[in-house]
Amino acid sequence: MQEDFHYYATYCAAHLAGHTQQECREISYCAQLVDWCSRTFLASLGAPSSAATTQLQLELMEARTDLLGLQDITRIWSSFHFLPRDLHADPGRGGRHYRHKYQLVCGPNGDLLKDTVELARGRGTQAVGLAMHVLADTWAHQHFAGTPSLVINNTNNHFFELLGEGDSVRVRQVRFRHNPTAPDDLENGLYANSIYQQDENSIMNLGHGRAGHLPDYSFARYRYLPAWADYEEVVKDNPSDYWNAFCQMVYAMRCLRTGEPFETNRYAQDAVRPWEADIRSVLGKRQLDSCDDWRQLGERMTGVALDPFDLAAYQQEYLDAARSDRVGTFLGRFFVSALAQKSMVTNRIFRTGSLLAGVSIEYEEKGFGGIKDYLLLVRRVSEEALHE
Amino acid sequence: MSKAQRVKEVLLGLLSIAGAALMTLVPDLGYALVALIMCVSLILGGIEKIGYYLTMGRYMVGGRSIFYFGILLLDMGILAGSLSTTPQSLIMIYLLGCHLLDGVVQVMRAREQRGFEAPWKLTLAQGIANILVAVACILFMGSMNTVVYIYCAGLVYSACLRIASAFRKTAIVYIQ
Amino acid sequence: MVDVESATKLRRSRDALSISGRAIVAFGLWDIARAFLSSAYGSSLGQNDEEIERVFADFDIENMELLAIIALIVLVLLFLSIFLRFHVGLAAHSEARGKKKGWGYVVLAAVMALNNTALVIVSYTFLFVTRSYLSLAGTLITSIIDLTSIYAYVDLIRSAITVKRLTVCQAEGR
Repeated sequence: MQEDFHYYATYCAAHLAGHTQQECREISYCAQLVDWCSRTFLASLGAPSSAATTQLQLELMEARTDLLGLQDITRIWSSFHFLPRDLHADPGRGGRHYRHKYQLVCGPNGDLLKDTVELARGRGTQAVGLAMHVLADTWAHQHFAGTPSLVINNTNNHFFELLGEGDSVRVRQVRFRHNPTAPDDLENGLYANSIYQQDENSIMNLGHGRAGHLPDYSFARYRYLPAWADYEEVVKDNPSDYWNAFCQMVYAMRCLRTGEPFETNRYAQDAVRPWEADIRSVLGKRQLDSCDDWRQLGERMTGVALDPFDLAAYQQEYLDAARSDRVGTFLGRFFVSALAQKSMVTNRIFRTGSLLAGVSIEYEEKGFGGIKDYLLLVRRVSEEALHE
Repeated sequence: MSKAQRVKEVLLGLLSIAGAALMTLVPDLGYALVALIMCVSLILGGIEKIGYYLTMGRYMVGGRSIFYFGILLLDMGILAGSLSTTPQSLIMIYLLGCHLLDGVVQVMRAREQRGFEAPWKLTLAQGIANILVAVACILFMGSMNTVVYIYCAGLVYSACLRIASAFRKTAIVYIQ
Repeated sequence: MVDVESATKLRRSRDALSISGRAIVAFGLWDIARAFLSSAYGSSLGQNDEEIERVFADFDIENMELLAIIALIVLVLLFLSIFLRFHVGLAAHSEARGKKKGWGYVVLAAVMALNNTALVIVSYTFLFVTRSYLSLAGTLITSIIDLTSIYAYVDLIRSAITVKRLTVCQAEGR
């Protein structure tokens, strides 16, 4: 998903979930920050690099694809953008390695989603915003995995856009080109995607790169052959999926705010219904960027002007704070939430016997070990325990 | 990374550096070794592709193309090994391409880091160094020794990275 | 109304047809490159230089003319083989993309598969009959592509039959 949904739609969803104006801003800021918090960004703040929630294009191009590099990539992308739906799924064929990769396929309403939302409970707007980003992406990025894998993430020329609705649906072949700088041409069905690389672990085979930005366009409806689906066609209906994502975000944030336990496959359609026509209209509008439409909708919902996303909004507070106090700043709390999410997802993947996301050490059994950045997590847990 | 893996990485790194040193000291032998390494790489690459197809690729839509590609690579490697002389220009083009691509990516990354006011000078320096190596490949295309020296430089660089990664802390802690 | 299972099978067969067609074209191109590289840079595969020199030393002028004619015929056959491979491969790829093609290329593929099989059998038979075991390694190695080509032809034929059958069923609405 893009800024239009992660920032503006999350803001609207937070409002409908009953959050205050300030909370809505913070949650939506953090939901969008997940797409900006790269190692480059963290290095500029002197922040722990393990808190990275994304990798920029050029970072990816330079990323090493040895064992450690792949584990690092998988940790980031599976934890924040391609949350696995079912870590115990059985493809019915292939060896262990293939099965582990298949189990990383993203999809909505998995057990990990429940864990993600519950992890955010009582941990502030930063954790909520981060969880909402993860939740939204489970809808948009389904059928792809957050690990470089040709056999899971590849696509071929059997890729068709479905234009129109109902009886007047027209099928048009999607044409891909490998020019990341040129904008997608919606009129002529020309989209950018990553180059085909036969190497299993190539960065080009990470996530939905082979499908370009199509999963991130709320208006797009298309059908294609996922590499793992044995020639069965998948029809992706983004307007419907994004609608579900929005309703589920409202439900999730309401649960977190009221203390109600979060359950998968539940949606707050009752709260969203008064705005359904407006939301579906924005979702279905064929345009590269729906930020303006979402912003206007958000301003109508709340009656307050909504500022555009400003990456630098909380940076000065972080930089001005003493090193020992940084974890208590706005960004500090976001970084700790990111570490917690990454730690949780890595642990779940590790427990299935897969080393794709690396090694996870159970703190309660073996104490602290491994990457020092995660000491921040230990301190937070200790503080929470002390507080209780 | 397990202890055994770390030891293996360090040993491979040291072996690569030793190999690079030997090839630099005896360039004629070095060129033959580079040609041999290319031949063996192609053969192993072909076998790897075929193995990949058998374990994973055959479950993928369009996976059979991997098998055919593997067979082609294998045959290319066998032919390269059977040739009386390996064209020097082919090896040079391969090295030139690798260094140029690396260099350009690093320079672009340095620009991006500068935009974020993050440390960028080291990345820029590495990028420029790689581009200069690519230029050297073009300028000294006719020199057999240059092929060897450039190959050895790449070997030493990747060996250092391999050794450094063996000492990186990798595990992450999970807390309930 | 086409059922989902048939549609999936058709997609699978079309893809296999396209891949085997492209493989046959690729092997044809590689044959040209291999022939050029071997002649330009010399290949020692399965050959003993001293033996070859001794054989050629016994040749007189008449035999050289005969050798030249044989070489020309071999060259023509090589190019013919490559041309036929291109034809078969491109036709298969075309049919896989939905263009209607006749049975000609399928029959040709069958003929070429049989031809390749015969060549492989002959080369191994010759090897064992003449007891030229020094050339065994070379023969094994050069037959990798030949055996894979046979596999590609068989795959092409099987996929083409399935595609044609299912396409007819689809058109009839079965």
